[in-house]
Amino acid sequence: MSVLSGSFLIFFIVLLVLYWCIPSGWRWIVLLAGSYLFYASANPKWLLLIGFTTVQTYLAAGWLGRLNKRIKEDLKKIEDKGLRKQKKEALVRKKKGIVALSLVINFAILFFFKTSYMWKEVPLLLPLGISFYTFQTIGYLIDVYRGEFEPERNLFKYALFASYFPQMIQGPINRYGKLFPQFFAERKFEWRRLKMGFWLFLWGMFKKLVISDRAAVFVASALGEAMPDNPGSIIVLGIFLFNLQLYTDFSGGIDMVSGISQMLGIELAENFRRPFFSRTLGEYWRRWHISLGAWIKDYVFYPIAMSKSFAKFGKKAKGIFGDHIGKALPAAVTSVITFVLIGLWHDIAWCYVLYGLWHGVLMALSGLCEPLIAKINNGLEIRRDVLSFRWFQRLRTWLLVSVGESFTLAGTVGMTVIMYERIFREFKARALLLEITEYGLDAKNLGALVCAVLLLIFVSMKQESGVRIREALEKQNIWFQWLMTAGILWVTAVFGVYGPGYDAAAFIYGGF
Amino acid sequence: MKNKKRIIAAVTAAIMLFLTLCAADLTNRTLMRKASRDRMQDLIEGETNTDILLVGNSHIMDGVIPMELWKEYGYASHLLCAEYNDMERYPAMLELALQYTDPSLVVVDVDNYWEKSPDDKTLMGYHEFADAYPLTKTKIKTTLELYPDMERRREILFPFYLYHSRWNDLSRNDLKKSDTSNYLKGYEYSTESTPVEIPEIVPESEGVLLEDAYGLEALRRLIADCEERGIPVLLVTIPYAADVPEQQYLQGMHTFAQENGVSYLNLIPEESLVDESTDYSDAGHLNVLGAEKVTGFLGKYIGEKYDIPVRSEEEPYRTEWNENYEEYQDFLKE
Repeated sequence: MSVLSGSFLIFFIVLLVLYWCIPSGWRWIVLLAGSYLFYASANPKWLLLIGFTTVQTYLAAGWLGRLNKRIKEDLKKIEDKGLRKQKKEALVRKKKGIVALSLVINFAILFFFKTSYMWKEVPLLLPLGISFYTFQTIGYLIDVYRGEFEPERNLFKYALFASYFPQMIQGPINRYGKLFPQFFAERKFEWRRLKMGFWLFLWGMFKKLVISDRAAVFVASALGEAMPDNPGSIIVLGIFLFNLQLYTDFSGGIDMVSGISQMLGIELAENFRRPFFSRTLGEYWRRWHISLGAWIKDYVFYPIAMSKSFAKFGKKAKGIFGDHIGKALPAAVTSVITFVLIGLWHDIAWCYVLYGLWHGVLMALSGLCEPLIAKINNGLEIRRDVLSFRWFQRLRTWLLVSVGESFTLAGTVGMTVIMYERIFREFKARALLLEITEYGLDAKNLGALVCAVLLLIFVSMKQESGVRIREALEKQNIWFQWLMTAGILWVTAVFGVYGPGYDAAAFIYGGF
Repeated sequence: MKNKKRIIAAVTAAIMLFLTLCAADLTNRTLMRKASRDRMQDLIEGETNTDILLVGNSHIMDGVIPMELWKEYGYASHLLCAEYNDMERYPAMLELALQYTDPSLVVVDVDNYWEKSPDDKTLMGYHEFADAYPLTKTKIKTTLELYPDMERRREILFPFYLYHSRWNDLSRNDLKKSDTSNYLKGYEYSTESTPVEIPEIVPESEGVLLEDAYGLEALRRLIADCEERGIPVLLVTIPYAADVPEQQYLQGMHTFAQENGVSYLNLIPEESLVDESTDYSDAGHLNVLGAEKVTGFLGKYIGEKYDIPVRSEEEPYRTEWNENYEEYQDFLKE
């Protein structure tokens, strides 16, 4: 059941009515039942998987909670310091063992499905939302391990946290502390909430159907099977448009599910903050797929960077290369490791290793070379706080991100080489003027794409300058609100790319 | 004060909702392909009853002229046809039309009863027939029966799903009201002339009925539906350059007709009916000259065999259909 299908519409309307009609204390049950129904509609067999992960992490968290309690309370009763330390170490080892075992089990399941294409002629379908609920439940488990939360005692309430249906399609990865309490908060029905959620859903649908799926037509033609014969200039445009496609597909999908969730009175984690306004790659990663970035930072980057071995490594580096390198080198190495992991999360393939390395090495170099870059800037008297330089930085970031994406687009290292060979040897800039309409989008469709992107840029710039679009719209007269709502719905219905032959309902990140 | 505010809000919402629905309807009408509207609009929206419905594919669509049936015999008729149509769709097409008319005779073209057309082609043909029909229970029922695939159902029941992207391809015809529907009545006009070689005629005695043929099951259903409603059915074959095996299969339809208690009129053996050097637009289809001859023959046959109301002196038929006939004549002159 896709969020862009009639069956989902019926499902959601029934759920929404039921949800707001029953007493507050029972609503979470409706959400749980709805979430499992939604999940079962994709494939009933997958219920076993999410059910297993839920029960396994629930039991593990319960065990960790008991061990935490023992560390906190029982150990106090032991007066002998040596014995207490010994006991504590034994309990911590046990806790680590539980977390490690859970990590191995759950990531093994994820790995099993993600690599099925390597050992099965017909690869297994990746269960809906498996990455997202795995990351979310593992995050919860680590939080309980760290003693940040008491484990949830009610299995069914916890099951809702793991399976809440809006996040199942393509995230975001929610944190227990922020999402879980919202399921049980006392709240009254408000038209305003419904309206705001609907607007967000509509905007996401516009991004997905009008921009992303239209750009996808060009990308498929420019970078598909015929790519080795296409002019380099068309390939470059294809790469840029892929970036746009990816952003509007992913952020559009997130807007849609966030809107759905808002209509239920539940805020999902923020996942995008206009990443193409980023002036550095580091900023880009704080604005793109924020929930994954934050998860990786909290549960992978810091644990590695702050580990004893990395502290030793930093000390050694300091001794050899000086203060700055000594500080920056462990973070740089960790960057490379974490970005390679991010790459591999997308797919176990060399092109994604390259993608991770590209981002990781650039991030590492930016940290390591910071003093050098500052010296160059000062030496050349470059003013960094002016508009022109800010836009130069934004374009540079987009270029760097696009190069990273190009590795994943080619699919294999060999194709990446061919792609860049075409770009550097057969650029043919004239093709951008003379042949541009030969790649799936005619002049009118290209015009529609440009207009839609201009609208996206306009809205994004307003948001960048601090305007809250929906709040601003809400302050307008009712007829204007209606006009805007009907207008965006009309534009999406007419100019959206959907219909027979198009799988507009599929989201790129739904496949990860 | 509070009540006044509420009333204003409710009225504003109602007005906005009405305007939104109008805009949606206008958009839908504009973007819709006009083929179905041009063929079916008068049957769906017209004030007069249609007494003869002719169901089939492009052979009968090019071979019978409802305006000639009117002029010669005073019969009010309409074609329910689509290109590449196969028999699987006939019962559904008839059922859709029967929502708007109460015929005295259903004529069914059986020339391809053994053949299943490619799905994509029948689908486009079916769109050209069914798009103009409003979303009703019958349309939902027939669509669900015909198309198990969700995607197909969606595009038949909500043609906007298919046509929304036509903003790219709009012509002047999309912006104006239909001007052909009133006089063509589903007829596909062709003046092209191609000499055709007609193979040796196979006599009725050599007929072979393909019992398991693809279309017969649907045809049985159609006959049963008509029987239930008390509408007689006439099976016909419009002349075309059928090869010997095809002629054998068609002659076999006499057996089928007997078994099912209906009549069958095979016009292929009527050698003197059409002129193979002037009356065909291609080997499978008649041009307007051939169609006029076949229409005359068919009208006479129907008049002799069936009790069809003659509407030529009856109002509002006389005014409306005579006007249509004049328009048709003007069209021919053009």
